[in-house]
Amino acid sequence: MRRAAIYGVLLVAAIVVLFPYIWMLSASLKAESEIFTKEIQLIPRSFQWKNYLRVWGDYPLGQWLLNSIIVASVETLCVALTSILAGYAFSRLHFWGRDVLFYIYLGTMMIPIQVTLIPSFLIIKHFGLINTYQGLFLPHIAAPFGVFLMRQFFFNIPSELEDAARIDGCSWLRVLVQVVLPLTLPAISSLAIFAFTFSWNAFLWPLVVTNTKEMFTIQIGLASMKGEVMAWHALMTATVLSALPILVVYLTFQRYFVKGIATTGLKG
Amino acid sequence: MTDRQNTSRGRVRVGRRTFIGWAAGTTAAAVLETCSLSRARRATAQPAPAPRPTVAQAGPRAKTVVEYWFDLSGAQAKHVESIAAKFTKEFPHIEVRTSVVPTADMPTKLATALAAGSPPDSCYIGAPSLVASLIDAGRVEPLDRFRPDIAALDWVAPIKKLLIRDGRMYMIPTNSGVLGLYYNVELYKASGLDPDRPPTTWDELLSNAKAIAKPDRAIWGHYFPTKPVSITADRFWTSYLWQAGGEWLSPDENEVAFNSAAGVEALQFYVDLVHKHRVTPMKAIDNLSMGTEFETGNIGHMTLYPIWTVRAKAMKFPVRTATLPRYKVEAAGMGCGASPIFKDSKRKEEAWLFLDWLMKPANAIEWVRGLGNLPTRLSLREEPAWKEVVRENPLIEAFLEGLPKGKPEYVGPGALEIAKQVAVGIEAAVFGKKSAKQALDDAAKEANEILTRERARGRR
Amino acid sequence: MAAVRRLMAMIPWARKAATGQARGPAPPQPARLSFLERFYRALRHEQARYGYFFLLPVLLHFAVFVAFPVAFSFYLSFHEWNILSEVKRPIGLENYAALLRSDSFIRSVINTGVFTASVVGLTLVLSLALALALDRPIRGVSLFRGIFYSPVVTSAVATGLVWLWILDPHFGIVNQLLAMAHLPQPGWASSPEWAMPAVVLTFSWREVGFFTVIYLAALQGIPMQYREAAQIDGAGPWQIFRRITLPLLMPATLFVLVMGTIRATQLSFGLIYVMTGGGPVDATNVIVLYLYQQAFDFFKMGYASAVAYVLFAFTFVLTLIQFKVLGRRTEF
Repeated sequence: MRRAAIYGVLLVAAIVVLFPYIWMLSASLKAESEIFTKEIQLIPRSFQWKNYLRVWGDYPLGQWLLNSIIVASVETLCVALTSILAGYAFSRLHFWGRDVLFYIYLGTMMIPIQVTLIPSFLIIKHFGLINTYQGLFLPHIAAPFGVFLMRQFFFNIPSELEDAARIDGCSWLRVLVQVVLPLTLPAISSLAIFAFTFSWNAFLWPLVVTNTKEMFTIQIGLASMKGEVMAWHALMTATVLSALPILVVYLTFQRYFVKGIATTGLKG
Repeated sequence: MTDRQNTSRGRVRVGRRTFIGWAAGTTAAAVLETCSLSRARRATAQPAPAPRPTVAQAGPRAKTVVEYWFDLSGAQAKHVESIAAKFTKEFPHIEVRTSVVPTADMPTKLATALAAGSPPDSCYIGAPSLVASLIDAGRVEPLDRFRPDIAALDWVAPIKKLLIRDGRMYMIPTNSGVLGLYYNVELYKASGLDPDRPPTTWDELLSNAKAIAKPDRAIWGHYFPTKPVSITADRFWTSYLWQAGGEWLSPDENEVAFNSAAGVEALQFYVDLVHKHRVTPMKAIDNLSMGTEFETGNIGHMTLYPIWTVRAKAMKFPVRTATLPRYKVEAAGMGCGASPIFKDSKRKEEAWLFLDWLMKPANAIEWVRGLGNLPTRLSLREEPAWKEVVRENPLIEAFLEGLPKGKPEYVGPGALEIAKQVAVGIEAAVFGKKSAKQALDDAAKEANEILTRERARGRR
Repeated sequence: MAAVRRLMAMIPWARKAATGQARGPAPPQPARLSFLERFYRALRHEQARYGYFFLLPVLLHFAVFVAFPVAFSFYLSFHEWNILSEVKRPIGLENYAALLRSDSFIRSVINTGVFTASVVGLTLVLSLALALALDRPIRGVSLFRGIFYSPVVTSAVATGLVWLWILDPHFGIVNQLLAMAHLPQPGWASSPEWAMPAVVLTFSWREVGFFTVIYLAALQGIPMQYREAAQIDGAGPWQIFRRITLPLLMPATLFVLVMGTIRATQLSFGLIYVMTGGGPVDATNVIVLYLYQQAFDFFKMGYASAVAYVLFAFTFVLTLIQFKVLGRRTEF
């Protein structure tokens, strides 16, 4: 009985969440004249699958997606590495200035990007990295939110395991890598998913750093399709296409939200 | 217990090490690859600039790249790219690399690049206020250096005022446009109106709109922008302000004058259209999405610029255009697109070659044909190519007729902020939060403060 | 309950509540040593060596890519700078004074407060509920998780446009459903009263997935033994939730609150810009939108930097409060 109720709630919530997507999907399949009609028409009158082909041919969607994937992957890897290390330091290791440093670092996350945009641009220009991949990802290889996330999750690990390892003579690095990390796989997966998402959705920074169509990330590419006199179904199609890679990433990583690993160390 | 811990740790040890090794390896590989990838990309896209080749020295290897940014999209974007390609065919040693900038993001991108001292060589600027700001800030090169008589050419008068300071011209105008009226022929017929007789006065507009409007079925009579952004006030609403006999600034230009009786009358017209006659919905209408809404076929008239004529053919219903209805005075808001050469550019000569080529009659007309606006030199109207364009796109005739009555908006000190204050007032009045007089007076108070403040800062 | 207490004693920060004892004695603090001496002493401590070493990548990145922009924008907030020109004129606190005088800005502060509180409250409750529902081996749970996360990855532009259609006063499906149920149909994004609920709704739709993932990961970290032991002891599901699950979720909740606040104050820019542009009549004008207009519509970078720092102070104070209230329960 309870299961049915839960299923029901989940189903309703899923419909609410999915509905805009279905809308976008349906708009992407409509003929141009059908999009702006008086009545709501969820099912397109004629399924224009060729919209997808045409959009792919008209715009370098493949290049844009590839750029986004490259930048997001590098950023995700780097953010994961730096956040795990720093998050552990901030949560488990005691050293002078630990808390002050953490709050300062966290504070920098609260400065809106609009005002740090120009100084960051100056730095990247100084290194000659405008319109390059490095220019796109270097400012984001460490992120306060990642450090914050790992720190919070490390707090939840009972310290007995680490104490045992230390008594056995492990250095702090080994403790981190061999004892703590396996227990925080769900956290690392979430971190990976979020870092990838942040990078994928970034707009302002790629806008000012990229100059040529070949270097656009998918968000800039989509925005360049928007204009006063534009093709709406092309935009909807491209939007649907651009959501796919990141859903793949998500589905890959959420597999690691597995309970079993979390309990291994506590038995006995 | 120890055994089990050891075993589990043992199992995990291999896993963790391989994972870290793999992660480190992949990151290193990815970084290396991106380095070489982007180096390769940079190499093909932007070769090191050769030392200033002139036309005479055109060697096959010495290719200079001129960066040209523009914020158009879709078919217009492709049009610009094709024109740039045409130029490169005629001048093989110069490549005009056009860069699309998302619409509405041009100010952000351009300002950031300027702040870092690395703007493009040239770009397309569609907003007169941005044109004026750039000229005032001294970031663009005066063009008489390349062609001494450029300011004296037969440019359309209001454009001259915008682009010429102290006799020097700072940008090449590539296209101009004036506000006009679009109307939906199908709705006209359905409401018993004659499509051959568009409204020519405010009263006629009102009565036609009333005949068409059916608010319960979301069919509206007249659309004009009410979103509180600068362009709502300084291009669209000023048309009505001028037609009522009002002016933006006082004759001595020391204070604003849009809250005069004429201004109140113009704003009251807006308010009445929404509340009294119910031919316009009470919402913040956006000039950018107005055309899209018009395409749904539910709107009788709209005030907009010429570029939508190219969409008219794609619309499901017949559309016609007319000059803006007049009131006491005939006037219409004007816009123009222009291209500068930035002072920070390292390839000014080549950029000038491009802009000069663009000014040639055949090319200038080709430019406006694809964009859907009007040419900027009077002599171009006589060209057979232009007549061909008009024949292809008869809707543009109405805008051509309206051009002489076009007036440019105020672009002096504080222009954008003042316009925003007025737009905020327009929105407040349209939503019934303030009376028309109150809204304009409040805006005027803010505007005068802005004016004095900006003037005191020593800008023109 | 004794078993629960024993279990709680294993959780570091709950230990004190369970047994009345704090963790061991704190390491001895050196007193009255100079800065450098304290630093060198700290370095000799092994934890400190490793601590700084682990922090090195982050600190390097901070030094190169974060410190300068943050400091520069703070410096700019005391200047007047039209970004199109090269002149930066120092004007002291003039920008900040102008902020306090601006009605638009005050309005945006109020709107930001309302928006943030609504969004954070809504998403916290909804995401926790969803995570609890999804934290069980029902069939298709991966699919559901994917579905709930997907709004987070859609672009703000597409989301805003689609929701504008959905909430269209005449043609939108929401109002059509309301009409069928004979309920009043609000003007949503076109009406000054309903624009804020409209953006709150849309933004929450987008954010719930993000926090559901966090809570899911946190729930996975709660070993089954805790709950099983409590059940054996005779605790009901609500008690288990209140006494075991919720306290163990405190670190995650702190993260959700702080990140939720930061995201609501900053990331809402894209969505609100597309949906309402801050209107109608300033109803949805939030600080970050006001900031963007000042910086890139009017090119007043100095003034915008001042706005940014006021926003920073606003967020920082909120965060500090959240840390104070919840932080004690997450550290030891």
